This record gives sequence, structure tokens and C-alpha cells, in this order.
Amino acid sequence: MAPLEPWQKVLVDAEEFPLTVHGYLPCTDCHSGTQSSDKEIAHEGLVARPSDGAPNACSECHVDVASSYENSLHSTLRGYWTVLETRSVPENHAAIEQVIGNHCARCHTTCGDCHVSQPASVGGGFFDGHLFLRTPPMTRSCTACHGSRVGNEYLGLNEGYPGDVHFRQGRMSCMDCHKNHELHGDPALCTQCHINPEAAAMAPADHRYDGLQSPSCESCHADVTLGTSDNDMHSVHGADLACQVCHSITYTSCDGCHVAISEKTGNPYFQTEATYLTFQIGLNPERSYTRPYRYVTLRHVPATADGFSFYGENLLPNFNSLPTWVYTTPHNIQLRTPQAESCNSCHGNAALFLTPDKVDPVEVPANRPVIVPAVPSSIP
Amino acid sequence: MFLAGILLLVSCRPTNPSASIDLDSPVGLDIPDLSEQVVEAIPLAGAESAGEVNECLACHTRQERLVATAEQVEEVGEGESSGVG
Repeated sequence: MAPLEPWQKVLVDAEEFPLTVHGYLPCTDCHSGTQSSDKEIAHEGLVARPSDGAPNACSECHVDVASSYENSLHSTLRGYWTVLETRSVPENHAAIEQVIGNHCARCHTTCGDCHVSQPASVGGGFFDGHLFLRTPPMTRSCTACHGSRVGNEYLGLNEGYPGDVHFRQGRMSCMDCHKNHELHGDPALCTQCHINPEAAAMAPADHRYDGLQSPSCESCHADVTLGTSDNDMHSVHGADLACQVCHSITYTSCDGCHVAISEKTGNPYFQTEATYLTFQIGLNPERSYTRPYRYVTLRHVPATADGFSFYGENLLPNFNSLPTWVYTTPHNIQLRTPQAESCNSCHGNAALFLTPDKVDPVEVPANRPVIVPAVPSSIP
Repeated sequence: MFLAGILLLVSCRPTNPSASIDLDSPVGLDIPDLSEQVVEAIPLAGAESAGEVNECLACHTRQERLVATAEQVEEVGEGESSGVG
């Protein structure tokens, strides 16, 4: 999509906006500044992004959502810290904080980034004349950020590979599965049923696969877990396989991300060494009550031990404490896939499994928890 | 009484339902063309509205005023980045 012109980014819909609830508020209530026909005077003290920070302009009215949103991963980006704290040591945290501030914080998302404007990564600007959209438009909001992996997979933009069946046939958007309570970091749906003190004290998620699967495939495809499916593979494998092992297809992996500050412009930048398509089944590194699978799909992430060397020597001394092939849930689900055509499409098919020979020797120690030691033997 | 009730119901209908916003659209690829919309004077919203003009909207609803007053803003992006982020 072509970037918006500067004037387009801030053009308010003269007919619709004044009739909306937010249109009844004086602009200065949220944006500060001054009522004046002189731009310089009008913009003095202007708050261009009133949903930045907490509390913010939105939280004055939307108290419930704003309070839970403070703890959502979209807001905290806590997942970065979870990984980097594990790989680092406390004395390096100041430098890591600088890395996150310069290179990762741009992904921090405010209320306005989903409900009013396009994210900065695609140039910003109002979606629709400053109208507040209850449901963010998928390609101008969700996949504008989650584009290179999720967006390309879901929409079928990886050449030669079809888009997700939920999109191709169901025309489902992100929010048909990822409901607002999840996106807002709201644990209310758990505590509505689980009313014990532990549930009320649930800590906010510290990475994307923390806690309950939300959404989960089984929420809609309940027959698979209830044992009423007429597909033998579902009964034979049960919860041994994550759904994606059989139902996803080739997806993107990346290698070697390095970050630095440009000498020319002073701006932060990154460089990744390689992006390529993979399909690898490995062991589930963290089997849990809600993710009991033995086998899951794995994606290589671009983390690398010297990726932050611009900011200091050996900032990630415990790099090998986490795999670089990580549990992933590709968004390119198909009813029929090559690996699920027959039993022996998968059993005995070494190409599908992350065996030691497919891992960079330097990364083998980090990936021991996910490497498949022996490919399941073929079935006579 | 009945006529008064009908009158009340009709007068409570939204004057401009937001039919043009397709909230259910799975993919929002269309950029609305608002460039032709011009308002002469928009009353100030909210409690301050006693006949004053909303200067913010008077400018931000007019393409020509926004073009005339636009400043070159240097985007602080990751221009030298390469590869998939």
C-alpha cells in the first residue's frame, strides 16, 4: 500500500467525525493545544498521540480496557525482556534496555495505533478520517506490523504457498480468532469461571505463549479433543501433536539479526543475514497442561549471540539457555497437507524433523531441548 | 398520544448512521477519499460550543489548508535496515 501524503495522514472526515461520540469532545480534551486559526499557536503544547503512556486520554473514559491494556504484550513488549533477561546477566541489563529502547520499542502499540491510525511502521496516518474503528482493519493495522511472517502466511503471499484456509475460504480476519479481551490483555474471561484466589492473582503474560491457549483451535474444532472426530489420525495422535504439525505448511524463518545506530543519520537500524522458508517439526520445549504436545512446529528466529555487539561485548553470555528454533504457530493452516497425506508421509520422513544435522553446530547446545534425536520410524 | 410517540421515535433516529464504515470488512485496503469534503465553519463541540468555531476541525477537514501549512518532517525510521524485521 502506498504511504499516505502528509495531509492525508491528518485529514479529519468533516461529515462523519463530528457525529461520532468522540466528535462531541473538544479536540483539546485529548490533544491539548489551543483553539486558534494560527497553526503555531494552535499546536503549542499539542499531544499528537494522546494514547501514549498510562494513564492517557483514553483511560479517562475507557477505564476497564485501559487498566488491563497496560499489562498486555502489545503494550509492555514483555516477551522481549523475558528472552533477553534469560540470555543476559543483570550487569548487562542497562545496555539491553538501551537496545530495546532503540530497536524494539517501535513495536509498542497504543490504543490509537489500532483504533485510529496506521502504525508507524507503514508511515502512520488516520485509517479513516480520524473515525474510531472498533475493529482494526486487518491489513492496515494487524498485518502492517505482523506482516513478514504472520501476514505473508495468512494472506498467501509466500510464493507457491496458499494462504490460510480460514482466510481463503472463511474470509476471517485476525480478530475473528484473536478477540478483544486477548488483545487488551484482559484476564477477565479466565476469572469469570476460575474464581479461586490463584486465578485472581494471575500474573500478566510474559511471552506470547504464556498461560492458556487463547485463541485455541479446539475452541471451534471441539470434536478433535472430544474424541468424536471421524478422522483416525486425531484419535491416534491425540494431544501428542500440535495442530500445526499436521495442518500447517512451509513458513518463514530468519537468521542473524544485528542492530546498530547509523553513523550517517544517527538512526537505529537492523540487518538480518537470511530469510528463508522452512517446515520443521521438533520437540515441544515447554510441555504444559494447555500445550501438552510432544511435537510442535519450530521456526528459526534471527537471534544471535553477537547481535548486540554494537552496544557492548558479550551482552548475552547465556545465549544458549534458550533455543533459536522456537515453538511457533504458523498462520497458514490447511485441511490437507503433504505431511498428513498418509502415515508414512510423516513417519520415517527425516526431511520434516529438526534433527541435529539441520542445526548450525554453534547452535546445537541451545537447541538440544527441541532437536528430535530419532525420527519416528515408518509404519510397515 | 400515539402520534406524539411516533414523532418521538422518529426524532430519536440517528441522523447519519455510520453505514459508510465497514467494521466487519476482513481487509481494509481502501483509503477513503476525503479530499473533497470542505466545511466552512464547524461549531466547537462539547461544553465550549456557544457559537464558537472549532479551529482544529476547520483546518483538519480541509486538504488545501493542510497542504499549505504542512512541514517537511523527517521520518525517523530504520532506513538503513535490511532483511526482514
